[in-house]
Amino acid sequence: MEDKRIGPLSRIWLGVVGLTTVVAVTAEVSRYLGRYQPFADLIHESQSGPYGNLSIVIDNAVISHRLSSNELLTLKAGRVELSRDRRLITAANIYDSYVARPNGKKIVSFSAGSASVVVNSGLTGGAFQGSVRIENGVQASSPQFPQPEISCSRLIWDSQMETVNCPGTLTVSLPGYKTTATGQDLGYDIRTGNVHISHIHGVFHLKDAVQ
Amino acid sequence: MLCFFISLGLVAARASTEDAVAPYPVSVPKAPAPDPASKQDDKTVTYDAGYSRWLSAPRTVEMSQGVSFQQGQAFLKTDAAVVHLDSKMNAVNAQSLSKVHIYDSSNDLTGDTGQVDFIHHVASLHGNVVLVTKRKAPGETDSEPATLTCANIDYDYRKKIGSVPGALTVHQKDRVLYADRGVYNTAAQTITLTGNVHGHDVQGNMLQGPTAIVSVTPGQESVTLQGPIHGSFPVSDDEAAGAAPAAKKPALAPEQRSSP
Repeated sequence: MEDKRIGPLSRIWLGVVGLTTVVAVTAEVSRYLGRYQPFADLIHESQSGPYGNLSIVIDNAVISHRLSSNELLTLKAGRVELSRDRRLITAANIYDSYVARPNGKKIVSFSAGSASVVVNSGLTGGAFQGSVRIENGVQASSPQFPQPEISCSRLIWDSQMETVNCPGTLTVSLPGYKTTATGQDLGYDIRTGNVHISHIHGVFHLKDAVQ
Repeated sequence: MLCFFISLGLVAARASTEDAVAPYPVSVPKAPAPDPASKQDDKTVTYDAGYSRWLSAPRTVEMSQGVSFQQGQAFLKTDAAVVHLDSKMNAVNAQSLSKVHIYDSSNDLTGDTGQVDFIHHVASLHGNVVLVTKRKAPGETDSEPATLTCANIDYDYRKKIGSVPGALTVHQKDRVLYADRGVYNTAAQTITLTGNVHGHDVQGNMLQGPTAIVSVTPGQESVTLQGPIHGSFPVSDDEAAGAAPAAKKPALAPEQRSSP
């Protein structure tokens, strides 16, 4: 009679094959569920910058974005962090910063506790597309008539929509005209120069009022 | 809504100057001392609005959703207004695009639309204009105010003088008067009616003349007619039969039926 008992060597092989099968099935299931991305770094390497996939932190940094010779965005900060995908810049202790039109005319200058720049495209060349969100004790001013100064908690510049918005409560003063207004939710259309403010309270001065 | 508060001192002082040339025996309140703070308030306009849109060219501000202005002691309220600014962001005037309510300590005005000249302190109201006098006699709590209705009025909210360039109607207690033109002087508490003045009261008294001065002083309401007048008084049955006339207070005081 032939001995049909499995030998010790075959048992080991069967064990190895079984274990390999379990690992393979587990990996495939994990991959299917998106929990496992083998060689992901190698696959996405083409999108990484010269510093690989590391985030970059710089103290006392000045970040500028230029179109031709004009600076569209200048961000001066005590600390700047550039994300791994290079699409998000976060900064703290912002000072003497501004955004400008393509012709170089400043739209708004600002200082604030923190800022985040979302880069949709154009960080390394071409027209910048994205938004700048400034928060925490925002002090902003515009060199355009009537040169308003704004105190607010948040200020958002959207380069594509060409708008500046200040959600929340705010104070607008016109130092040249000695007038101040308080309100909520300021919106500034860069193309038209029009401004809207909700729940506004302020004072108009009168010139040459008849006494 | 826009509201304007006027300096009482300046109003009374200017009103007394105007009344000095008026040929009517109208008592004028004593002018209080001018209030420097109120005078300063006249140089500013405080505003509130639920929504505002500041246009760069022309320099105007569109306000809506509960608009109010205050200049001195006068207030103006409306639902939508456009404020015109000069090159230095000073307010020049405002135009209301919906119903207007103007009030101060003495008067209450409403109209369908209106404009306000901040510089000259004049509000022009148009359409279904109603001016209600709010002044009450001392200690009186339910005095019936006089009302003036017209199509257009120019109201100087600093002097508190309302000029009606067209036909107007004055309701005063049980009396109704009509005229082609009129001027309401708050300080003097008079409405001067000119042109085809005519009216009647609930007792049947009728009058007609070229000019009338209506006193709206609470407790001293009266009508003084000037020039050739025409009117009629009802006669009771007892009077018609030759009996002693009943002690009935006429609607117009005898001394006020003729011109001064």
